[in-house]
Amino acid sequence: MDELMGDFIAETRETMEAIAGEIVAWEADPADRARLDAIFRFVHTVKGSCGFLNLTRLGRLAHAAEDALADVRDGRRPADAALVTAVLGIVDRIGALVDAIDRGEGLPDAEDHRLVAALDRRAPAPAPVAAPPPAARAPARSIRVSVDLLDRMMAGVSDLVLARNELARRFRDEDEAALERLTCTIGELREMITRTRMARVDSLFAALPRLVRDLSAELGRQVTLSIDGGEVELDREMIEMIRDPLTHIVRNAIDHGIEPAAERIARGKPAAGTLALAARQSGNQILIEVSDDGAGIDTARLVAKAVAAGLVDAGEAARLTPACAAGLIFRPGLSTAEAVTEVSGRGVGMDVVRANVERIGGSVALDNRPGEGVRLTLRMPMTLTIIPALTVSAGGQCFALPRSAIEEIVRADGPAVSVEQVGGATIATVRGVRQAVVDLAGLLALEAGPAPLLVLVRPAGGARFALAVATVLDHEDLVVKPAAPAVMATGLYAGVTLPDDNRPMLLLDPPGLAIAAGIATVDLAGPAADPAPEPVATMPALLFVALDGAERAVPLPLVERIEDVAADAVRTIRGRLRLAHGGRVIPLVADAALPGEGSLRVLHLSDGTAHLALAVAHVADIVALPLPCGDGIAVLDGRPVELVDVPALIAAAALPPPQQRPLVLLADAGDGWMEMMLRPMLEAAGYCLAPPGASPGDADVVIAAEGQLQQAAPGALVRLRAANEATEGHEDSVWRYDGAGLLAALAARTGGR
Amino acid sequence: MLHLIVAIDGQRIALPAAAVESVIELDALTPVPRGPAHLLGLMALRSRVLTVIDSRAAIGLPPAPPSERREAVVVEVEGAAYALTVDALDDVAEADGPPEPVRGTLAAAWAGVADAVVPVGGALALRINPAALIAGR
Repeated sequence: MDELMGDFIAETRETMEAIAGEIVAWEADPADRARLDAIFRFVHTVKGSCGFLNLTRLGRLAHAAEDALADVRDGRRPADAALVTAVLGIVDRIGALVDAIDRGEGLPDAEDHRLVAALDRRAPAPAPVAAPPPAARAPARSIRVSVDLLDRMMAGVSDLVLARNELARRFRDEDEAALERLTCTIGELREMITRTRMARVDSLFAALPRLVRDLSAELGRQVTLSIDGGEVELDREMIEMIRDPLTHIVRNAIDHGIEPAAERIARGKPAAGTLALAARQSGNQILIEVSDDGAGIDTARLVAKAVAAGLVDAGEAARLTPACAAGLIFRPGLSTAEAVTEVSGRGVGMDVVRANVERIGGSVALDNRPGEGVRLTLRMPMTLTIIPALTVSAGGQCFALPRSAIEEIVRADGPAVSVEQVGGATIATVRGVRQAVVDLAGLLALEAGPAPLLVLVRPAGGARFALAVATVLDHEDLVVKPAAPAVMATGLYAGVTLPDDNRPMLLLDPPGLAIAAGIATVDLAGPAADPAPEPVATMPALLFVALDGAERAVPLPLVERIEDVAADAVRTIRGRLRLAHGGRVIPLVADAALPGEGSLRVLHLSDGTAHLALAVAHVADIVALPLPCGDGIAVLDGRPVELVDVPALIAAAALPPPQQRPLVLLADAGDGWMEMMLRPMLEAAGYCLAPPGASPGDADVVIAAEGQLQQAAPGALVRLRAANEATEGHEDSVWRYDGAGLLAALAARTGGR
Repeated sequence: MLHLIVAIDGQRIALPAAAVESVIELDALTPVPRGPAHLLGLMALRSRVLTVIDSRAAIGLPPAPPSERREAVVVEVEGAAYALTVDALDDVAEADGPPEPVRGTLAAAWAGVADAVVPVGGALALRINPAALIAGR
């Protein structure tokens, strides 16, 4: 409500500033129709907003002025000086009241009555009023910006990203700190602009108390409304698009759901029904739940109606599960209301609600408990413009798929998966569940090629199918733009996106693919039949089988991409694995010995700062992993799955800082023998070698040949001897080929560091 | 009125300069599988995505002989940006007179897309309606 009020105040002030000139001009020429219209529009708008915001005083003033001006517009009354003065008085008063509301103060209302009375055509002409002195106004905390401008700002930031990428390519070998800062700044900028598009769900819920009050009065019901989660934020456009569906749902709940008080008492329920609205964020989705404790949906009657209307045949009806039967309310042309009322029950309703929500990439789930009530859950992506997507390739071209429609990715030759040809149709059986296979390259008439991966897709409201693709490239948040009508007319694409490589990529439309493939069946159950998931806290995670054969998971947001790299790009450096990749060397973590040749599958992990490659045997799935209960172990489908502790891996993979490694000075006889023979062994053992010519005093330990550096302190000296047998007086010396002895002596001198 | 003069299949075509955003050279295109035949693909122009229309295919002409440089005219129609391929860019010139209705019968290829003739540079040029070209035949 506060936000609506803020919008109203900002808008009213803005219009008042804009029409200030009109008012003066109108005063000079009361016959000027254009000026009159501008002022009429202003008071009309104020009146409308006041009705909505329940500002009766302002509304009364605006209403009086509007009536008088309407008379002038219709020629029933001349615009004389008295009228102009009275209208001006009211406009000024509106300004003063708006300022007072903003400051949270009150104004005496005697003045209002005098101003309204002055509008009366029989009133004596009042003295012309001077504009009131500008009141001290709280500084504006918000401004109104057009969505178009925000879109252009977003486009500007996208350009910046592209320019940055180009710079990064050119300065690949230069100091990267400045580029990193640029990347960070652009990232923050992008996030902020995205946030400017967001508004609180409050602004969607604000109109409901009034609606519920009016409806319950009209229908003779007692309804208690509870609203929760108004602070959740949602894209402004999205809010506008679900305003009508939400109103429909609330009307339905009161009209069809909540019973009259007498009936409720007879059933042992409290006389007043409860209608609860709750919004919450779940990952990239916003959930809005509307639940009531009314009668629930009478599925028997609903099915009977569906049969009567010819929507389902009797045999089909008999096989419907209760959840599927309740889902029939989403079918067009069905209404359970016995009588068509003013409020709802015209047979347009839930089908339209579902269509509207699905059009913005959301879904509606229904949980019907006959006799106890109904819960509807609307799930929507957080913004219209940025959607989490999976990029896949088929027939040599890359495409994006909305991740909301993807259930699982499996290999066609994987365990528990079988693909069979039956009478020309291809059917995949995944863990006992069969679905049609759609070959993406074939469907799009692209060059045929192997398609070893099956992406299991469930389009909104349709049956699941398996989309066969050549590779799964990445998952990322993509900025989606509408495509040209000729592209949309194919029915296969939902939009177009511009990834960082600046090659446009088409976003596939899963329901459209199903239709084009001829496998679209009306799924009677639809998403509504899915039991409402228990609100278990989960996190999206990538499930993989590690090299040691164990199943582990890693938080999905940390996974940058999955890639096969050549095994010979891996080196062991100072006891840690390093992967040479794309001109950089990044730490690699492996649970078991790596293959010496061939290729290696790695997950690129990044928290934005540190990068790490994790060697895996294969990637199993993307899952919603219940949050680990402790020790980093989560329980998934009854089996324990270890959640990889990425920060610990990053720390463990880091090279020991050089300054903490003991510095060893080689003082040989000047023949280079030590340099040649000892340096590799010492470095592999974690020692740091002092540059030639360094002073013995700087080194932690000195390795000296016989006859060199007689003066060095014995505590920091290891003396090598040429002979196997120690000579007398030099028992602590080490034979120069005794590697183990040398390392032991070094460890003793450096305190085992 | 300023016009951009281009050639398509040897025909002089005039486009009102006010309707033309820019002239570009076509770069790597993303094809649109199962799109209409005259939809050549998508191309990025800074952060915008252009829908590239093969003008010759749009009016039912055979494809142009392949050449290294492929140029296109960028226009905006109903909020979407398009690049219309042309065989050659000729000139930007002030029209000698107002556009006139087409007298006579146009060849089938041009009938659907030309809406006037414009005297420019001492000869008549056919003025085409970008929206009709984009719609194809």
